[in-house]
Amino acid sequence: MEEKSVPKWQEDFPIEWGADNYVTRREFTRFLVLVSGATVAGNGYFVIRHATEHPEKYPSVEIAKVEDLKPGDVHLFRYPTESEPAMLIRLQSGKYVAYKQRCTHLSCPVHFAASKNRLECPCHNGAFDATTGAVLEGPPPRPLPMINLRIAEGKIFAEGIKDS
Amino acid sequence: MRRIDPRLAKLGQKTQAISTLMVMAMVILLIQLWLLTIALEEFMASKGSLAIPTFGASIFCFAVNLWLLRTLSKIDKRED
Repeated sequence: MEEKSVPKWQEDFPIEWGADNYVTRREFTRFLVLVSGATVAGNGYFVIRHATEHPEKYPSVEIAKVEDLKPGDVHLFRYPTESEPAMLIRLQSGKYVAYKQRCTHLSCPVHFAASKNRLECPCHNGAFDATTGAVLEGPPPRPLPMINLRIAEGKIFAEGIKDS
Repeated sequence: MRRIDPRLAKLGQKTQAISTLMVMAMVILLIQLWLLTIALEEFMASKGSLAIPTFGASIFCFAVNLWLLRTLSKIDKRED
């Protein structure tokens, strides 16, 4: 029988690619369990964050005067910090509402469509109800965060974010 | 009538058992990823009511996965 000739390098290094890359069922399942442990750690992170989070204290800020806005008007302001855009809206019913201006999908700025009484996000056609902030259509996963308002002496004050 | 080699039959059973355990581990992992996305969504919405329940469920899934791995190792090592 003819003997198969083996190159010199293979004699010195007799490990095959296939054998080297072979993953056993046990190894693969071990990897799955490792990822499973990592997801437990991920869930644990949220528990720790929730337990250590203190309720935020929001400032009371004057944002506009009552006579500044007619029904259907919008006033832009920043709340609670200078880097967070928000909008005050006077609905057709005369009621004042305020929301953070960032869409809950990918943070695009939303705008008020007075004719439809809703807030629209132009990026992915998301829409929110202008009265409640609830999602009406599109990809946003959560309602728009509503800002608590207080009206006193003809002035409108922003006083915290409403829990959704 | 064709007879099946009992050793081959046992090997087939072993392969089937191991594959089943692997699929179960994968399904459990998918459930855990789903639980993680729920916890993330809650966190993004500044809520935390589901943080502990999802964590508990995830720990349970992890424990089941560990048990599956142990069982799989036992079956895999068994000499037939």
